[in-house]
Amino acid sequence: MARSLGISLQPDGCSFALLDGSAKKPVLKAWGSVALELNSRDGAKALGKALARALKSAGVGKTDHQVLSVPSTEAVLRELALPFTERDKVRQVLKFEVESDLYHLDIDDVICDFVDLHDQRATSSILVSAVPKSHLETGLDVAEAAGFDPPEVELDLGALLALLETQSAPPAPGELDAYLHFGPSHSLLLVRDSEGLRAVRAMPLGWRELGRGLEDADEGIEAEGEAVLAAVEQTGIGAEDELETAPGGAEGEEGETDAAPAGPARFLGGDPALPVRLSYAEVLERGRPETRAALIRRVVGEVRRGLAAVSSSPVARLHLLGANPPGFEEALETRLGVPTAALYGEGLLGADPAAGGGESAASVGGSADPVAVGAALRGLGVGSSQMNFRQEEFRFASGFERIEGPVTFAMFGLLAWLLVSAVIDYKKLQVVSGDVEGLIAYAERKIDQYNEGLGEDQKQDWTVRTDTGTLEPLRRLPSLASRMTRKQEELHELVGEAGVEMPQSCTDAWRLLVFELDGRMKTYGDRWMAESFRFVAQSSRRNETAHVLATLGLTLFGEALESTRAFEELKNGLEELPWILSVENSDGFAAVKETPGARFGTLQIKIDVDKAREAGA
Amino acid sequence: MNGRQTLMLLGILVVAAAIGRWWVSSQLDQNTVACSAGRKQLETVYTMVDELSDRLASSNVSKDESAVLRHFQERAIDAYMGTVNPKTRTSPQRTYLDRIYTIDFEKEAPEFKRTQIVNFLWNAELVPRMRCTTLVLRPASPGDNRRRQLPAGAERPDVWQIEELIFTQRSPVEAAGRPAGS
Repeated sequence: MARSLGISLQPDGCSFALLDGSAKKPVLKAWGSVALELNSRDGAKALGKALARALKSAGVGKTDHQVLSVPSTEAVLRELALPFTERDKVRQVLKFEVESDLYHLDIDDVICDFVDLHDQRATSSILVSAVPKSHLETGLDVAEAAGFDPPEVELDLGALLALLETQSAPPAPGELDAYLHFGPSHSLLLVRDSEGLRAVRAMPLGWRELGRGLEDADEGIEAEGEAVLAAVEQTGIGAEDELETAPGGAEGEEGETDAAPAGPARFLGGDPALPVRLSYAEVLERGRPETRAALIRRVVGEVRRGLAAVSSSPVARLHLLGANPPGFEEALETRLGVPTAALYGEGLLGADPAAGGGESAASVGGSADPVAVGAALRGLGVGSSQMNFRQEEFRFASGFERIEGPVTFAMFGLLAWLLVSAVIDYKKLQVVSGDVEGLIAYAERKIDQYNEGLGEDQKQDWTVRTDTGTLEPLRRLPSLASRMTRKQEELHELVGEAGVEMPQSCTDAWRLLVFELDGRMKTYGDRWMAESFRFVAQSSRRNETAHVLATLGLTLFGEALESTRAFEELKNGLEELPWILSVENSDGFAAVKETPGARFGTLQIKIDVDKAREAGA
Repeated sequence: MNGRQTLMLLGILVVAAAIGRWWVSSQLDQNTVACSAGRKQLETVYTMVDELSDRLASSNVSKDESAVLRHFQERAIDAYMGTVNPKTRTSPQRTYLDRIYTIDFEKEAPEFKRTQIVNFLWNAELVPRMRCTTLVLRPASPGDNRRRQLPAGAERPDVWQIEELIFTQRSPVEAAGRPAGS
């Protein structure tokens, strides 16, 4: 189930119809019409606002489809023969093909679309409708002011065709039926055969011509304000009861009156000289009989010329929609020789009015506007007309399409930025990876030099492989460093202590002792000499750490007191060193008999070489 | 191609470009980090290569005993100390094995300058886990074939006689009782 709203714009206002249901079984839920406000500067905006109010009061609410029908008052209709009928192909060449027929128009100022015609010619025929863009713009302005954006904009003849195709039985094969919609500003003549539309004629004659010349036409109406003429909630097909509740039906148009001095000169191609504020009934009442007779004669003449041009085949019946002034049917039937009757039905067209007011229920005020109903049917997917004038700059944009342009632009920008930054990063990557390759080459060259420098007996154990080609580039250098580290650790393991306490080195103990001895005896004023060195490495014992036991024989020359003091100072000084465990002098410091002036002493010194290394000695 | 298809194509291209840029960017980051770390690694490699080369060149790192003896002889020759006859014995312990090398000089009077002795000792200890464990020096008495001890304070040149010189190489013992690495 879908709710479809059809809106029919006319030069004197607009009408709407709301259908609910499906294409096969539509139900008319609401309809109404709105008159144009003449005292408004912006007729389209004012009409749109009035339409919005009318829709709200009619309880239209949210709809699934909206179709706007614009009048064909200023549309140019041309029949065209083409060798193909595929819609997409025809639309591609349509403007080009029809341009020569629109010599009085700038092709860029119109939007063209077409409906297929069924005639007896060998080539395919189409009816091209060229609608001025200004016309469409005005229509869309009204819709925008009313608060919606219709995806489809149809011409009134297309909407009418949709109505006829669903609500009127097709003619018998070989026969032609004609349909005349006598509207307020213009009239449409459609001719159908059993297969479909045969021809269409638009005539610039409407029932408002009856009011032409009525000087106070738009001044005699007292009501002001609301433009809503009728807005009737309809729950069933029978609308007669509800229609009585509408504010006056056709008389509703009387609700609009003021002495609007300056309205829009031509709204949707309407004739500003025609009275807009008068209702159909008032026009009939106030219009002169001779004016009405003259109008009927003109319309009948137009219809006769139109039918004569359509086909050589005779028209079997003429159906009337819209206004039906007194004497109109008889004049048509007499002059054309064709049975003529208003088109009624139990469907969307409305029933035959019991009052017999001379107008069709599906016409003026008494029921829904057939064009608005047809437009609503289009929204439900009914009708052979696929015309949609939302083209070129008026193309309908859905929610996504509205942001498509900015999104596309942003995507282009993002893509460009990504590409540019990727290229910059790639260039940097090339440089940096070149640097990495260079580092790897340096490392490999250095290791190769090292390998070449190894002796023959070392090559097997100490060669470092540089075959890192199978690894990822970034893993090669760490791998080389890791291999070098491994070899170094192997050497450390081999040379080092491997967790076993090593005996302390007598070489180191000798170096430490001689260095300390030289330093301390430098200040001694006389000669001195080391007589003997004895170093024996001692392993750690229960209460003694590993050390080197050094025995030093030392001879000092000079005064006994001075040399003895120096010897004691040396002993004491050595004892104070952190890496000397103890210093002993077991046999004293005595004079040497063989050498006068010399004194000799022996020091037993326990040297902790490891502690000395820790102390940085 | 309509706008929606164009947008879809653009979206695909943007996603592809974003993936490409992410890949290039991550590669750049990795290479930048690798380059920065690589410089340090290269320095480390250079340092290690130099250190390893030096140590291997100056050290006898052979695990063979004969190579050690040959090392002593070569170092003695280097220090102009003549020929040496190292005598070897072992002293097994619970966790290690001591190979004890007693150095005897063939020279009749093993008298050396201190620099010669230091040079020999220093280079002899370059053998892994080799330590000089006994060193006894006394002043030499040049010309005295009987090697009598000089009295204290006697005038003499700075020449020394090696009375006793022992090196010990201590190697860890594995569970089977063999020295580790042998």
